[in-house]
Amino acid sequence: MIMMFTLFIDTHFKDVIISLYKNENLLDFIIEKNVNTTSQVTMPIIEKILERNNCNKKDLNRIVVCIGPGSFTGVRVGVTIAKLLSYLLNIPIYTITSLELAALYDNYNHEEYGIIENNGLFKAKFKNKKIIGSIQYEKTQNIPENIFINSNIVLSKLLVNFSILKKSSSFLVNPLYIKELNINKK
Amino acid sequence: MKDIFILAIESSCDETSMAIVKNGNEVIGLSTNTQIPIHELYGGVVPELASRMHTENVLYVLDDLLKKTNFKLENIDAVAVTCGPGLTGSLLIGIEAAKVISYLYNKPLIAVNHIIGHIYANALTKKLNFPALALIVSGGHTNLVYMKDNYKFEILGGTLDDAIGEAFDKVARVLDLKYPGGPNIEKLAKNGKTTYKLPIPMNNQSMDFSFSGLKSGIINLVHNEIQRGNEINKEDLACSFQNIAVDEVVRKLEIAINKTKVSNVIVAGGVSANTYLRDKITELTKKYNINLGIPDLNYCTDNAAMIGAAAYYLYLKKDFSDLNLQPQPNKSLN
Repeated sequence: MIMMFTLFIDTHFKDVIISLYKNENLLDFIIEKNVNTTSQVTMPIIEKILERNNCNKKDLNRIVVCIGPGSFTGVRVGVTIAKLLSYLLNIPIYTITSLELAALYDNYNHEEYGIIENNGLFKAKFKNKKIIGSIQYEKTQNIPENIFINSNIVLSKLLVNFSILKKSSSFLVNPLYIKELNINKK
Repeated sequence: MKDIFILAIESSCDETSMAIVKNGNEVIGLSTNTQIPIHELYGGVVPELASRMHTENVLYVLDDLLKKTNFKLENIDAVAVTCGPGLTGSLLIGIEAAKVISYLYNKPLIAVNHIIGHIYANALTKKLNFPALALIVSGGHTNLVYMKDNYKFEILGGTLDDAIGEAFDKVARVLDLKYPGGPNIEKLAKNGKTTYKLPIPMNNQSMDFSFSGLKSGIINLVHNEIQRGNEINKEDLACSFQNIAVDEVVRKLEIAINKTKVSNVIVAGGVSANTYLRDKITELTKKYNINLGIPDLNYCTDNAAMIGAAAYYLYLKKDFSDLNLQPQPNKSLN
């Protein structure tokens, strides 16, 4: 049987989450909480996790990356690394949004999930772990009761329900910002 | 000695650029994506927009460079990247890309100062000789630096307020010119005369610069003329401003030449593309019989080739960085 190694990169918020899978089973993970400088820690963690599992970087078969929404800078770091890895190793890249992750990690099926951000939240409606419609941003300090905020991380679930991951091209993978830039044309 | 090939990445502002440079002086290939047409719509660089575009463009630039040079990343000796000064979000993308390449191919990672990159852009045109006086004129910097040797910098003077390129951009805004202001002022000035009387900056013997008085003088003059219902001759005003600003830089350069008695002068930074400045400095260095280095026009503005040139000396010194390298938006010369 051919071994499939998958690297998952999630830097969409203050935690840097890197996990490694052998086929669809979670082999190892590293979570660094409350990171202020995503750029400083992410590549060293990737190096560490591959090294301690004796996984040669050339043996990676697949990259999965969380494209946000969340922290602009955080997501950009993870996405840039994922794009380069996929392109240079010539392996497929799959994306997942932060809201789909929140639903995936949840043991239940809520109708609406949210991701809290500094001045508001990103939200989306779900059915059977899949987004219906689009992700929206709402400026608010109060979290509406009907929106479920999931703080659990269950990395072992990532590759089990493979249909949630979206296959893309390394050139076309970009962060999902949702928020419009607040600038005026001259 | 074995030839050294460095892959260099520059993303400090609004250009995503990558190059392969041989032995610090020969460009094997250069690919640059400029965001000027986008930022032009907003009258200047929008940092958040620049960061987004670097993320979108980074692979296209790398792919273009590798395809047109037919170079295999296995064959590079090191990967160099601008670590600052610049916009944090922009620097970040180049830095992360460089880290992945360094990691995957087991090549040393070299962090390069953007300003030093501008100085070493000269090495791509002709061999640098020392001791030298480096004049740095860009959108973020105006400095006179004494260089005893490679990577030995002694700052003789700098700007007390605006950088010269910044003054060009701000005056361009007052004159309703598009971003980037510098080249557009130069275009207008070509058909103008020095008819406007403007404040002369820092009329002293120091090697520091100040451009905010000149800039304010222009803003006041424009407002005054509008109040009086007078038309402004933009070509003449652009010409008057450019000549005063550049003459001031040249005057300070002459003071520095007399103090340091160097026989080599090198010019660096985006404003070194200005024809009036190039002519004036050529004239001055001829007068003192000084060997002048001024980058080719395509290496004056931000580009990765200059980063590859500057990285060569760090490679020889084995001055390498780790995968935890971070942007240093306010990095200084030393």
